[in-house]
Amino acid sequence: MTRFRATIAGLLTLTVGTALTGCGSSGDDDNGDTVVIGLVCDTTGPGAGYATPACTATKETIDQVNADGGIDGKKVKVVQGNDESDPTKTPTVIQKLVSQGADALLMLTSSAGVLQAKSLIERTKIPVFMPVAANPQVTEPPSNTYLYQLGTPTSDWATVYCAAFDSLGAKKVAFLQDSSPSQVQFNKGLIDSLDCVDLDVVNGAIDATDLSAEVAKIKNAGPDAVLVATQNANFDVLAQNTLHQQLPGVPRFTELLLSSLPSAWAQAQPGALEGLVGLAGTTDTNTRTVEVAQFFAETEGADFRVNNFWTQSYDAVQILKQAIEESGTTDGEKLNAAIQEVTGFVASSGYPGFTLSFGDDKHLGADGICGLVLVEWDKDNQVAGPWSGYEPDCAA
Amino acid sequence: MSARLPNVAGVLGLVLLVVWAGSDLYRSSLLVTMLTYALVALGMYVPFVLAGSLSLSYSAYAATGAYAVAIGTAHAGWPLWLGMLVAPPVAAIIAVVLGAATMRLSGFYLGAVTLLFAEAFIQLLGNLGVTGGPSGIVGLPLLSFGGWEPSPQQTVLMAVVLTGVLALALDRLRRSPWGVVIRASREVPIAVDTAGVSVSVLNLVALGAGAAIASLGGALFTTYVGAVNPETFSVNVIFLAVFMPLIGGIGNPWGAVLGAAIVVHLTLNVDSLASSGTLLVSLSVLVILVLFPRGVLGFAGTAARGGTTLLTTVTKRGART
Amino acid sequence: MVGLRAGLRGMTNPQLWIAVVENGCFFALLGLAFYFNLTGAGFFNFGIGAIAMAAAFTGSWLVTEHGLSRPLAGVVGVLGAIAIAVVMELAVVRPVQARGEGELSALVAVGASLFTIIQLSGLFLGHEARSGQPFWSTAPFSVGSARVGSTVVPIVVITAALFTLSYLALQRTRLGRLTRAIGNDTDAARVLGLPINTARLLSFAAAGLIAALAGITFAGRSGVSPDNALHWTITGFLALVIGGTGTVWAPLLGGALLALANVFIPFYFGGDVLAYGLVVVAMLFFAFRPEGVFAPRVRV
Repeated sequence: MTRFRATIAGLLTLTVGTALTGCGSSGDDDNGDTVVIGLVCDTTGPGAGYATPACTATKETIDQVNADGGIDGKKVKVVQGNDESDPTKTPTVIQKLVSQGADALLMLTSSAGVLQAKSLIERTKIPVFMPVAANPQVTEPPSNTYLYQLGTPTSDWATVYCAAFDSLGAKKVAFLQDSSPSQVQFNKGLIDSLDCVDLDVVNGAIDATDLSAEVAKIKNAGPDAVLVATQNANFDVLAQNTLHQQLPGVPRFTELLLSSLPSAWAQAQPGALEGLVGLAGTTDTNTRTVEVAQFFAETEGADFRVNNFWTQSYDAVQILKQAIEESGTTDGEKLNAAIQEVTGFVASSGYPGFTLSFGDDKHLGADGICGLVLVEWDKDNQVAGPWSGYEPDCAA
Repeated sequence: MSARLPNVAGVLGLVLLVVWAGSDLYRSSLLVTMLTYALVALGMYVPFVLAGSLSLSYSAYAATGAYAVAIGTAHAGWPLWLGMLVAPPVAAIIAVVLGAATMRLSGFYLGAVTLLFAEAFIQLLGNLGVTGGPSGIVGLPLLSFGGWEPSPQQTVLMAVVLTGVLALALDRLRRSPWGVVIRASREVPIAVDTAGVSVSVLNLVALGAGAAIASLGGALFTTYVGAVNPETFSVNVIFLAVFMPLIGGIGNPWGAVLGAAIVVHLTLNVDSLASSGTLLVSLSVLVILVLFPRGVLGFAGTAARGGTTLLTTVTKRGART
Repeated sequence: MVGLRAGLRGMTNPQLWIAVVENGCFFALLGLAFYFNLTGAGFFNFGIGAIAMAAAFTGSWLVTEHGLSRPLAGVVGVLGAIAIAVVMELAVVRPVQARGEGELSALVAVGASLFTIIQLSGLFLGHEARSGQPFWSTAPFSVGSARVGSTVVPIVVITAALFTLSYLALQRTRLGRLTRAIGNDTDAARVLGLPINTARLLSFAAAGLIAALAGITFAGRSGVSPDNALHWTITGFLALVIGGTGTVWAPLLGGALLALANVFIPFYFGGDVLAYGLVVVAMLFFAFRPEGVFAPRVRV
């Protein structure tokens, strides 16, 4: 036993010892022949559900860029960290990647972590993308000079929902949201813009084990349609299960997350998602999307299904590549200026013709509403394809 | 282990860490995170280890410190250091009020209520206007004392001094008459009450002092990083703060500081992309609890004393074969 | 008047009462698992939520990834849960408690076990949520205007059966009485030479079994993910401390009260108030009944 303890103690000492000596070596690897991209992936914490596919997509895209000769003839090197979506860790993880020479960062982690690091990012002066984040708080002022997202503002979501409600003749809509402060803030802009219908907002606790009470309130109000407004997959599935059971026949809508998470569809009761209409980021009618999907299917296998986690991660790398090539430098401020020059980038998401543009005061990339696709689920809880009721138009 | 040894080793360790960090921004950031955790764990040490009271609201006290700095600076135009001075009394008041409201509870019942309080506090921070809602407060200015702006290195040095002084003070406190009484109140509350010392007042003082120290952790982090939001100090921090003294060794406040260093190393400095920091920390806690009940400090003490004995035994065995 | 009508509309809505029953049963089962650990080993096992999660999560993984039948996956899940509970006792709790340092070290040890189980589940089976694969579910049916989901009847029946069996086992069998005696006064039991270790081990195994059945059945509603573990632990713990520790039926009452709060606070005040509501309810409740509804009576 004593010897065993001694061994363990030795191992512990070694581990602590590495902290004091080598491990945190901060050598600047950026010696001019490489472009270093820092990747913050929450692959083991609460964000693992979306960060894992997005992180894989980003790395596969970078591999392809390297195979095609890199950026401006320079190889791209990836340095990676994991903050487990814990805001007390995010700033240090960013510092670590910067000390390893990162020229730009791709953050696949929680908004809370990036919000925590906003002041640091402003001081560090290198561009930071949150490719798959839907929450626009992060790219709003202050301290947003170097922060970018590819998403669509919620006012545009409202335009799409209003057209969809109109096509159903729905005048009175129940709005069921999880009451986490970040979701409430996110939905505030959406609620303000949904003035096309008579909206009845109902709050549910984000970690609720049951939503019967919330659905009973909705049922009492007798709405023409229900919109479940959450970025939390568990809440969404619980809500859809309960609505399917207690309000059969009332049209249901959801926000952007559920369509990208097939694992969450499997959580629903049999048939509970049938007829549900949700926002998605991809459609087979876009040939760019199909090409990108084929590229990922080469490594991910034949049953790979593309969604916006994959296409947005792909696009973020391509935009960064374009900006570095245009500016001819990896200097943070010049690169940032080059990103703000990117306009009309043809995205691999959305409908054909959907583009992304950035500017001094445009940190959300989407141009117009046709980056959003309305999709419908079938009786097997699978996304059957685009919804026939309404299709956002790139010309609108 | 002599009573002085941990103090000397602790101060020496902190000095070494400052030298190691130098002007490297990543290492400074690691160190600030470690000191933040250490201050929260030191705060928790007072009621948790000394008084044996399972109050779990420590994320709320750290957040109080963070928001005192952020709100004072963003809304009242205070310099950051003024917020750091205001934070401890505010956190102490919250802790004493909560402590008075939960006076009759002990053990796990107290743990349950204080944990629910911590969760509700996060929700409250996200709902209020003055706290900046869910986005919190960002873009705080750099630390400045009437025009003198310390470098990150100097800020780290000040934080190290603060943590070191608090650890030394808590060690003195632990061995002072007051410390003896409060430790006795954990074991034999009735005897202490009979001796004319009110156990409930003792507990409230311990809760207030602990919250004040923990709030400095939150204030330090926000000062250094320049931002705070409701999820900055989540329930996660509470569990880390419970683990840290155990990892380092609960016999001495320096155990909390050592525990914080080990946690930060395992979660942030080890390059293990596939595995999670949380897993490494939890497994270390299990190994330490089962094999080294007195934590790393306790084991180091035993090893130092036992080293010579072990050496003699080995030599003897060697001679025999 | 309007308020009264709205008030009645909640209280007379059968759908809400079905929700109270279903959630109450789940909370009560988790509380019962806590109760077994408390009775046999004298401490709160905060690993319960993780054990329940691991059983449901592993079972689902076996069904969806390896094509096992649901009953077989259920059996594996339950046995796995019992194994985890037994290993926790033998490798972690017993050595730590044996040193007699009070509850602090044991508490931290089970806390660390909780996070270890969560992270290992994520590491080996993936961090994404999985569908529930209950070994028993019924076709949904209507009672008046209310719908009864596929998991309601099973969880009610399982709860009734487990509580009855637990009552009989603890009151009527020699080993059960022994277990309670040990939980009441471990030192005295040791002096009398009672088989403490066997009784402790059995109480851990029973807790694992109950938690597993609760988790597997409840996951049938809307799936399970490693993230559920901590919430389930806190819920089960609250069910026990609200009910009190005086009788085996206490967790049933505690679970019911907790479910009432979880259903009717959102109905009357909105889901955003639930977090505040739970603190206020818990504080008021414990201020008047600091040891729960059924406080243990000291036997003289």
